[in-house]
Amino acid sequence: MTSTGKRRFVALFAVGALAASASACSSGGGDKKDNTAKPSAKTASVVIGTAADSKGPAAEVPGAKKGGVAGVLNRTGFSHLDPGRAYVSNLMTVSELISRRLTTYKREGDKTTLVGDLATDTGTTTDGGKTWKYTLKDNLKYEDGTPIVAADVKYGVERMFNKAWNEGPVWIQGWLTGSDKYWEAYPGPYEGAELPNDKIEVPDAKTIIFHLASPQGDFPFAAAMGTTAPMPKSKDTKEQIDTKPFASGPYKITTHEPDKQLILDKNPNWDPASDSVRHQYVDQFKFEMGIPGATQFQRLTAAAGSDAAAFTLNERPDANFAQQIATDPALKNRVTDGIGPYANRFDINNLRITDVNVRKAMAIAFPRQSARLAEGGPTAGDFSTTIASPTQLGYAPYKSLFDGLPPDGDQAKAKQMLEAAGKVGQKVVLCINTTKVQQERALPIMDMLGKAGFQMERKEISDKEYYDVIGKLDTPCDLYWAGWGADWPTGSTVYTPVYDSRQVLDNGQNYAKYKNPAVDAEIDRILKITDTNAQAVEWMKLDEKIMQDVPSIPYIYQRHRLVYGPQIGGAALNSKGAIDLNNIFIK
Amino acid sequence: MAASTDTTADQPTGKAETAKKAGAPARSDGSDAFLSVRDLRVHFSTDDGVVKAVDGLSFDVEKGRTLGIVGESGSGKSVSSLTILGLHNREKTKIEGEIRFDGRELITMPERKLRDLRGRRISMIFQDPLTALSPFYTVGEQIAESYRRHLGANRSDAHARAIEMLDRVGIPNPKTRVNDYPHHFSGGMRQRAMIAMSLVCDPDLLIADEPTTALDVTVQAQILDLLRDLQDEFGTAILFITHDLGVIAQMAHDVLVMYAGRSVEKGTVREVLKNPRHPYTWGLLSSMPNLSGDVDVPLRPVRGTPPSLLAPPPGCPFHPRCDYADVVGGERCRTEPPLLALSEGRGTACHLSAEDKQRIFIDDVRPLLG
Amino acid sequence: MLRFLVRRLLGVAAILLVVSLITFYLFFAASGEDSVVRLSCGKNCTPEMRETVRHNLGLTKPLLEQYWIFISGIFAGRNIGEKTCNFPCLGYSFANNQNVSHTVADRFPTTVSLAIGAVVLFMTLGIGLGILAAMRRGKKTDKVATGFALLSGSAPIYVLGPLFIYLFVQQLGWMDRPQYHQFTDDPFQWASGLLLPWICLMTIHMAMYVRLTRSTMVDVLSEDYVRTLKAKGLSGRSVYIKHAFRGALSPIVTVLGVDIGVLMSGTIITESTFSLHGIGMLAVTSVTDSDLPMMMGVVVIAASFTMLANLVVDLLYAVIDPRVRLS
Repeated sequence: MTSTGKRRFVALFAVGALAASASACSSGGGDKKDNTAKPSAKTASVVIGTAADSKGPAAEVPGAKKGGVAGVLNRTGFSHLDPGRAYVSNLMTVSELISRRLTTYKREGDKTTLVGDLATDTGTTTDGGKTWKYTLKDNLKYEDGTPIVAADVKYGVERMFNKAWNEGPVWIQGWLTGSDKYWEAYPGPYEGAELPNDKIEVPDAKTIIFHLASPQGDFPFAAAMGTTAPMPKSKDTKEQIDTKPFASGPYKITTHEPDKQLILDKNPNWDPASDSVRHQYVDQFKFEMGIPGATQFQRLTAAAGSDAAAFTLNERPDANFAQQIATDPALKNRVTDGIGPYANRFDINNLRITDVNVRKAMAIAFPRQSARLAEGGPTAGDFSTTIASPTQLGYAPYKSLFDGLPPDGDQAKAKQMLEAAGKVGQKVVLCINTTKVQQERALPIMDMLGKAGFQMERKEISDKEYYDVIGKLDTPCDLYWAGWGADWPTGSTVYTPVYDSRQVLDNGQNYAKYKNPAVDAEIDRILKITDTNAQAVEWMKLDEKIMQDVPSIPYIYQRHRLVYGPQIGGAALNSKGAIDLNNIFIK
Repeated sequence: MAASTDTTADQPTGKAETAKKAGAPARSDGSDAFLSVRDLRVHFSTDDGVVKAVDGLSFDVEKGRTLGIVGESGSGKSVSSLTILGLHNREKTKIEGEIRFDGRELITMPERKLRDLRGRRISMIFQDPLTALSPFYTVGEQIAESYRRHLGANRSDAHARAIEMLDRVGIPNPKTRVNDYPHHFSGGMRQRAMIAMSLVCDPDLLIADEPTTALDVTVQAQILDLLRDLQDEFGTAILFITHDLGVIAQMAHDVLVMYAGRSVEKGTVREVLKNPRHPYTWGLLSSMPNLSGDVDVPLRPVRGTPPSLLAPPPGCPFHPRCDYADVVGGERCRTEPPLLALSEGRGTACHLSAEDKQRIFIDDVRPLLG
Repeated sequence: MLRFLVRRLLGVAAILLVVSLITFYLFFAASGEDSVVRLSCGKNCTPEMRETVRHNLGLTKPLLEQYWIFISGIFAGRNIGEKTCNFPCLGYSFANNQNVSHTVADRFPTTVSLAIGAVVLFMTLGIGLGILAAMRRGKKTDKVATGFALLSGSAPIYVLGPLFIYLFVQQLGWMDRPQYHQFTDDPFQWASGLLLPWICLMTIHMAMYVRLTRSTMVDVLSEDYVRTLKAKGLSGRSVYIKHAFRGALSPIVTVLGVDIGVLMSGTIITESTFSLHGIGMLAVTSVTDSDLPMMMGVVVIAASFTMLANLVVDLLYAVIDPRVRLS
């Protein structure tokens, strides 16, 4: 099983999260009412849709109107818009609007459904997931009016074999060749060769068949990533595609000035009848880049001028703004509320703290509530008890060691456990980076764990080196924050890299350095189940099994409260934790 | 006679009285001099008190004649000349007395009218021609500026006039030099340019404030020659201010010696230089080297330092430095300010009797002058 | 004058060469090949992309040769890997997949517009108030003008900027949020979009010019030649404006040169405060995006314009003060 892609994703997510923390400028206090506030974020669980679900046009959004310009504020520039290379939530969100792919997610209220996008359904397999066949819908066109054919989808996948572009998802490349080093099997189209028919077969203009090296029940999910976006060979401008992709969705790029602005105008050749998820309500999307988080909140709160019809793409509130949302009911009405794919946790170094009872005591003493205040209290997210995010297929909470525990932990109980284990005075090195949130969060952790009898030390790491340092086998750290966002909402992209002992290596993603041969065996067994729904149940059981060893302390399910202007309609969270661009309209 | 009150510093002179004088249709003493200054008092208020820079000064200048005002620095000679043109700092200065120019009272004249007079009928040249000329404009532009201002000439006429004036003051090659900047000129040339500038509108009165002090001796002589020639040519009245009696001897028809803001002696140049009657004039003369005389005669500068104008000594302001204060009987020199006794334009402000003055001059002073 | 100009231009070129060499050395040699590659490769860089970058940067060549390639590329253009980079080639940004000069050229008008408007405003108002204060020194006008200058000059842009936005855009709605429109598209939009930052910059920079104009004019007014001018019968206005202000121009131009240099090389804080994408913002993003070639380009451009501003100031000195005109 390849994992290169997952490594990328977590690294990218980490950079985003850290940068978000860096831009936060709160005093971190939060109000005391937080103590009693009930978690209110909604959960959207995924289902696999049918051909009927995949049929266009998309249901009209109630009250939606056509016309107008929607402004979108973003902190950074869009470094990759080539659909095969976009692999962070804001990039994927924009890319999904411009570039159609074989499958995609339809979000209706709390319900998320995987549906066919270019394809008539989410794909069919006759051999338990080894061969996947897709049929393209009718009347699919690019921005220049030329028809989208199956060979273009194949060429799009071929491009992504180019070794230099592996910052994008590489699931399909790996599954087709059965190798982590897929480029050795096929170096991509720029070396002149095509991918042979025994890998991808295009019998006619509307049919594409993938022959995988081994069965992969999750292929329909992988096909929702930009790897399967079509690319006509004649329009391939290689690197330039990354700044200006050739559009197949309802909007095309008219202007893209990197780090400055991106303007999307309607693509007149997009046929709404062929698309079950996207709309073409606004005339134009105008993305402004380089707007710091605090400025975004300030502008969108004031909603002066064109800001009334603007929204943040995926900027989560800092502690100050969280407070403002909590106290301003009018503002509350124009803030999304939902849980994204990210489940955050504190990893314990299982190579250094080997006694499970000591790890358990750490979890019980851990002041999750005080720590969360540094990032805005409940607005940041609800306390988590599982490794899985609530967005994961088959998510079901189980009885955890946090049941019945006060929100700020039970230090007395932890101390008893530590005494029983004979480990009072156990040294714990808390590693933090230099961002404000991590700095402030460290204080209560140091304090409360110290109270429970641990001998606490803290060590600071620079932002850029954070994941390098905690990823080292001989890292000097014992306790450190880590976030994980699954590529798609099943357990396949969670447990495999994060708790597989085969990932305990330098720069591996098993940051907890957790080794349990029984868990490894379970992972292998579950991956072989091709019925995705049955598999999901098994993943949840594995989740519970892993947590019995307390390799990590679950922290929060990241909540996404994204603010939008009063004239914006149809704003809701997508599966990436950003505002869904498909349904946006101007009131 | 108003003249009798000339040096009575202690006599109060109220504003009302000044106003009445200014408003009077004709002068009480009947003087019809071209420039006539009467009982001029210029007082500056400073943080430390009132400085009596000029304290009861009177003099006349006639057309075509030169009055030399001589005195140490700080004796009030420059202040008097600036006051004539109204160039003193009006906010901090209190002026009393009369300054009549061609029958018009200048002290009460509004700034606007005064401006029309400045540079047109009364002009002025200053000590340091380098700092007195703007470094940012050519010599020609600065000369022409005055001409255009007062005579409304156009640019090219004014330029031609500037060349003409430069030629007149003896600057070689005036057609090219007219476009030079002051820093291209030598010291003497600059002063010539300055003179050209001051005479460009053919003024009736020229005030020359130490015009040769900054120049070396040969250049100084040339400038004085030039001024004399120009005076002969234009008939200009000149008020010549200097600390140098040698220059006075060459330039002036009449002399006024100033000390501590007052005039202590006045008369024709011959009278004052050949037969000085005031101990201060004696001091000035004997501190001057005499090239034609005996080189062995020692120079005898006036002892002591000029008095503070904030708190001048009581009585005769010169008495602390005077060798003959004790010759006068009693404490008169220390208590009673001497008046400038005038007879036929000749006057001295000193308590010494005429006999004593004559005796001391012949016995003590003349031998020193060689 | 021509020789003076040529000599100064050669001097500028020499200094620019030294600046670029030092920068080049610091960026491309001092930190080692690996970090150069990492810092040139953009934010989300794979080992494979690093290889491409390493290959394209030509880091294996001796440093001086690399520098020569960089410098000659500016004038002659060059190929970087398979990318063509035409004159004036400042390098290739791997993070943005664009020629550095292309991006710089795109951002530069914003910075220039910001600078031009601000300079015009703060010079006019600053000098005007300064002259007024000097003419009425000690009086109410003077006290109001200098007091205002002291007050406005003490507020930093990151305080004043958000305050003005809050006040004028959000509360009063008098202006739009600062935005850059091309002058050639619509001069009115261009001006109205930048009005707020201009006013902000004006408020901040003006203080200096009020004080400077006032104090130098007061100094000049005590010069001997001003007395001469009055003795010539000139009116107050021509004494103040034609002569005294002329004398005060040199120090004003000196400060202006520094200010223009700073404004032209992109004021990072100003552009961030108003979310304007000029050279300053480009400098910030090139650092956060790990875009070393872009940083290099920005430094070269910023240094060039600072030098150019200094050169213009030197030439202006000669125009203003004839004593400086060396024969």
